[in-house]
Amino acid sequence: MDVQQLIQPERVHGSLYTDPQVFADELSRLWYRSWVFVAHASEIVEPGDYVTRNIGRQPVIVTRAEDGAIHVLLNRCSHRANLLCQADRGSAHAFRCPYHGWTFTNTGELVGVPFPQGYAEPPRRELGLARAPRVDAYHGFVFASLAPGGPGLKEHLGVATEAFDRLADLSPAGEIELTAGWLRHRVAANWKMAVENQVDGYHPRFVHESLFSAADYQIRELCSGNAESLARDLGNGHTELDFRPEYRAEGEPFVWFGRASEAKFPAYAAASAPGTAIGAPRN
Amino acid sequence: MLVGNEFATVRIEVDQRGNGDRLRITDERTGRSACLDALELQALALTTHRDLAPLLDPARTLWSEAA
Repeated sequence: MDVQQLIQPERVHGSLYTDPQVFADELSRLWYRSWVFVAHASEIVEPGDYVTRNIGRQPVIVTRAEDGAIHVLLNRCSHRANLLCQADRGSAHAFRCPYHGWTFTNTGELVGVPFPQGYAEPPRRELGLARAPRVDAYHGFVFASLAPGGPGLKEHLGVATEAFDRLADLSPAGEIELTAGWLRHRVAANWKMAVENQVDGYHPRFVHESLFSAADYQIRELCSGNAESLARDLGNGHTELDFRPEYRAEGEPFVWFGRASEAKFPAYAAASAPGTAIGAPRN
Repeated sequence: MLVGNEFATVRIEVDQRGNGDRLRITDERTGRSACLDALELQALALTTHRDLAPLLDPARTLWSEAA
């Protein structure tokens, strides 16, 4: 399918969001070829830790092996493709399929199967779990690619690496930890709606007005007509909604943190005060 | 004390019925248990998960012909 004819300078065709063939092409050309974020390394700190995620429509297990390496394994038993790990997260050095008991290490090797004597040729170690051929990380953000070749992660991220750098730069340690939980949004819509909503600074004053009314929430000013916030195209399909110009214009302490009181995090407030390394002005 | 994940749950306790302390591990699913003495536990502490993997072959334990 030639999507170019569906994308014109001033309009896009609605079928981009509804046509099953467009979605199938997106899966094969983007989701199963490019780099996809799967987890933050701080979610699987201990050897044996794992989380279950998806790449497109493929379920995967992100594991921390005994040697500290991170593996991204297809969450499908190599026997009958049953879902192997059912939990969102856990700790296990081996996974046992609930369907027929086939057992795999957390690096994807087949450990054994029940009743091997029932096979003319017992299943071999080659029948391990399928895996993402490429796994890489940037500032602890772990990405996987289901394609063996193609641009590396840093090349794929391109200018967007600066957004990760800025995030890590907010930490006195230079790295962030995803240990306080996170919100999962289940969106019953084409996936592009969720992506585009992240750079839509127009909707908050309408969709989220009740939130602004209930709390002194900084997003109200950030998304007003006179705000200096801007949406930015970073290339390679990466985008960001950059509030920094408006934060600077407002010039209030921790306006970027919901105007939270410094008394709630005195150690961080001290570590990031003007004059410190992370409190220094940025471009 | 129970230790579990989505694949198994075991109960662990210090068993003092013998002449010395042992760690009793009971599989909640089958009720089968094993007592491990300090020297055996030391061996486990010094081994790797890779070395342990053969013990997790289901044909050797839960679904062995002898089970």
